[in-house]
Amino acid sequence: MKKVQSKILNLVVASFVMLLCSFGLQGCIQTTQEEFREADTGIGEDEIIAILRRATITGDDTEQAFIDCVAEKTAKGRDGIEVISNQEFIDAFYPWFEPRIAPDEVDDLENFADNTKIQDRIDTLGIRYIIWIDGATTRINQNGSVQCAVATGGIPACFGFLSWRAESVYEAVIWDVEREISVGKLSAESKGMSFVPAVVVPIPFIARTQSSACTSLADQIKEFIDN
Amino acid sequence: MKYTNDILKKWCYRVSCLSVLFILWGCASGAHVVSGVSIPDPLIDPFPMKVGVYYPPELKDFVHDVKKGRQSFVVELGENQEQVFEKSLGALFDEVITLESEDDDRKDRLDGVFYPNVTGVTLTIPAENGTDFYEVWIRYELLLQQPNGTYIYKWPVPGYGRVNRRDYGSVLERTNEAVLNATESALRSACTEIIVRFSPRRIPLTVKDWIELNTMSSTTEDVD
Repeated sequence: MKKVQSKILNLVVASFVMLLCSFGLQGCIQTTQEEFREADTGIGEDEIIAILRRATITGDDTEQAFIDCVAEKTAKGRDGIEVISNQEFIDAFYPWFEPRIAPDEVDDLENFADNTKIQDRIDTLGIRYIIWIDGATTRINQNGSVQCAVATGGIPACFGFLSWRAESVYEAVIWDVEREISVGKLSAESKGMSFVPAVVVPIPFIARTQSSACTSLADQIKEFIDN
Repeated sequence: MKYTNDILKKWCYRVSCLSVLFILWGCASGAHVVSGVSIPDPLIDPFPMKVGVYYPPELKDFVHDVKKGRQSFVVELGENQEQVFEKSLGALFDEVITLESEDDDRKDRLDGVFYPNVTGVTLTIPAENGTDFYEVWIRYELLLQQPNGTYIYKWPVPGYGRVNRRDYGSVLERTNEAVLNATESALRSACTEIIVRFSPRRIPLTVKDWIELNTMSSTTEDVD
């Protein structure tokens, strides 16, 4: 009986530790989104969009994981739009979309008008819109601390309270490759408070602001283009 | 109750040991990377010229070895660097041949010869630069000579690559992968830099003259 009891308890504690380690618990998140439309949009069945990271030499680059997340979520669902990934796109158009020489403004696309190789590649892949993603997730206002030590009796324990505020601010600028115009701008801003109270065992409540901003931006992109 | 305490104790020990192991691993690990970059074919129109490229042994064997605290970082650039020049020069010129030695007989049939070399590598990690980035700078020199050895031009070619640590794990950073990707990004950037140096806005006058002279002579030969 005791053996069974100990096995069950072992299993429960193991599951609890693994759950905490792999997921943590969800903190509070508030997401706001904005849209600025400059022109009508629409996409054909054989057309796709490119979701690219606005990379600069000196500025803070947007996390690759965020770009991948937006691309994946934009392509998913019944209203999903086919997406060419950042890496696939810059490889296909090498070296014209490398960080130092990628077009800054939509007018710079005119420079490619005479390059038949670039035009052929755009036509072959069916690229209709280029979406530049810019932004980052930052951690601000970190307060408190959690101290861990081995207490009397040899049991390690943690005590304290740690909290921080995370902000995920991202912007998407959409260019229509066919008309060589900027058609709009979207933004998603997620703010959240994460905290880790620790009384013997630390329990993290993590606000997944980046994931929330990703979902919000991907939904906006689909809605904006399908308009 | 005693059993419950015993089991909780056991688990506390396990979690603590694992944490110590992770911390020690994080302190001790560095990186040892062998670059295996794959640069795509550039979308540019080539000059109708035939050039050669000679890779000195010191370029092929270049290894950057540096200690940062208790961590050791080794970056082997190796023969993979040839891709930087094969892709850039291969796209810029109609035909590029690799010379076996500096006195290769085939030199006389070429319009010019490129001699690349690496002059240095710098690697910085988040712990020392105070940012979220692993950064790699590779400095090349690219010498262009006439087949008879007359100097035409020498470019300093910087390659810069960086990756965000946040893309490489939040608890256990995949340092090796981060340094490898930053290195490969620097090699790709060096390739891009060479291509850009031949753009109409950036091309040096002596190189422009050399291209005009050789493209005019090849056009005349074609007509003949």
